[in-house]
Amino acid sequence: MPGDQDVIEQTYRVHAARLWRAIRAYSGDPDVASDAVAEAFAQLLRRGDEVRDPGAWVWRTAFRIASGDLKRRRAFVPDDRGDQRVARPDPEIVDLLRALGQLSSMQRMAVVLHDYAGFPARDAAEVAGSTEAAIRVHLMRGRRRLRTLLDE
Amino acid sequence: MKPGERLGRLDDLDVPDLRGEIQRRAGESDVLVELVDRPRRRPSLAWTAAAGLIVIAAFGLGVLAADHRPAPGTVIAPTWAIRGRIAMPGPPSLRQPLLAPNSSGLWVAQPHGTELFHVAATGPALRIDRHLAVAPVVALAADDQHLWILTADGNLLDLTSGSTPVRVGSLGSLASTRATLAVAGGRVWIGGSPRGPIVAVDPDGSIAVVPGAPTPQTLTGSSRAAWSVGAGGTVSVIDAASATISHTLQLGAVVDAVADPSGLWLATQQGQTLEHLDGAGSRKVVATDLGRASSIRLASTGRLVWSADAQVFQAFDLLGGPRHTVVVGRASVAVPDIAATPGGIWSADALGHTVTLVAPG
Repeated sequence: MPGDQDVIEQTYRVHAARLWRAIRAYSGDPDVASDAVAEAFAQLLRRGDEVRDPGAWVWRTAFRIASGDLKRRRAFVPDDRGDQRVARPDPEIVDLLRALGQLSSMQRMAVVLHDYAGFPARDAAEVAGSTEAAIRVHLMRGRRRLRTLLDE
Repeated sequence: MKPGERLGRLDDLDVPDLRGEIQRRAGESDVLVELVDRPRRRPSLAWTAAAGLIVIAAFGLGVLAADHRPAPGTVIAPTWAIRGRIAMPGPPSLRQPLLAPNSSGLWVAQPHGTELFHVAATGPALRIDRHLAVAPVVALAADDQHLWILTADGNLLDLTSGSTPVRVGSLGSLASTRATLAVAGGRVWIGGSPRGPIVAVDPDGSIAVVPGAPTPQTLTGSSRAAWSVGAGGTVSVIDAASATISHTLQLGAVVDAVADPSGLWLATQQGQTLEHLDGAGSRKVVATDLGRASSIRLASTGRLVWSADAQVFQAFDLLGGPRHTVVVGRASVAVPDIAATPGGIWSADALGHTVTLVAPG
């Protein structure tokens, strides 16, 4: 029962880190990731028992919040501050985030949800609010583009 | 290096602890939830003694016998316990895994997945003893003689031989529908297919459409009848031999339902109440305090019906209960799906990561 504190805590422990990193990679901005994840979990708390599957719900909600935030900003925000806690940002991660930033929004979402978060195309489509067929197309094109960018 | 392997480097990103921020935002809507870690203090000797007296008194009053929330790991009934857990291979899913039990174990697949796993309960631990590659699967059903799968392209396949799927019938694409599958009276019953809201498929492949049936949210079967629960709690009793509706009842919101030889068990009233319907439509309230969860799951062994929420499994019979209570702990963040055989209760967590067997010890 989502309104149960133990379930909320467990949902946070299972999903929050992977969700934050996925949105960090999707948005390019650690602040967008933090805002989306925090707001999604806060809304989960407010809704309580209305939410039957809190894990799936929080992924959908967080990505919609992040997507809306990016649309308002009208751009991917390449920002290396996600690595500010380490003295020297890992150049491989910086390159990866920059390459992801050159994909289209849907390509980036498909690649992150499928290839990082590990969701099947159908579930990725549900999170993205798209169709499985569209996600597969975005995934194929996004992977191809990402491979080219990272191999350059 | 594949993109997926490179993306794995994202796991090296530091993640901020957002629990305080979540609590602050939730607090703005007056929801009192304390997400931050609670300090754990060693109880004083006086407090321990006082707690001990309270526990003894509670035993004396029989209070603990009615407590639905004992500590995780506690087994109230000595005869049923967690026999084993196994981590399943493959990526996680946002959907409940598909389960189909038989006498030797449990078939498990991810919705629209292309792999079937059979978890066996033989030996001291659970193990995966069979693995089949299949077309994307949307529903599963099994008994001791057969394994049926319904594929996204609408084929009902009999995988009894395990290696050579036999196409029993074709029902049209199910890629965008929520199909359900049940076995009753030697026929396979399918809900939500393009051929009709409910159809019965015979072993020879002939298909009978149940006239006047609404599209079921839950479809379940026993030896003589198939039971359909539609939107709004409309329960239809379908005679398995004639494939016609013999009774229709309006029950209101039904959380879950499962059939056994005695009739149909239903979780109603937002999962609080367990009810039973017999084949003639006679209705009986069996229990009124299943627990706190709003999405209780039910499964029947034939002698007992089990309810499950995210933490506790409870067994009832027609005289009431609970007859057995097993605390399964916090393995799931949501209510697990469950399936039953005479030998035990199988459950799979919401992400399909873990399968658990609860069985007589």
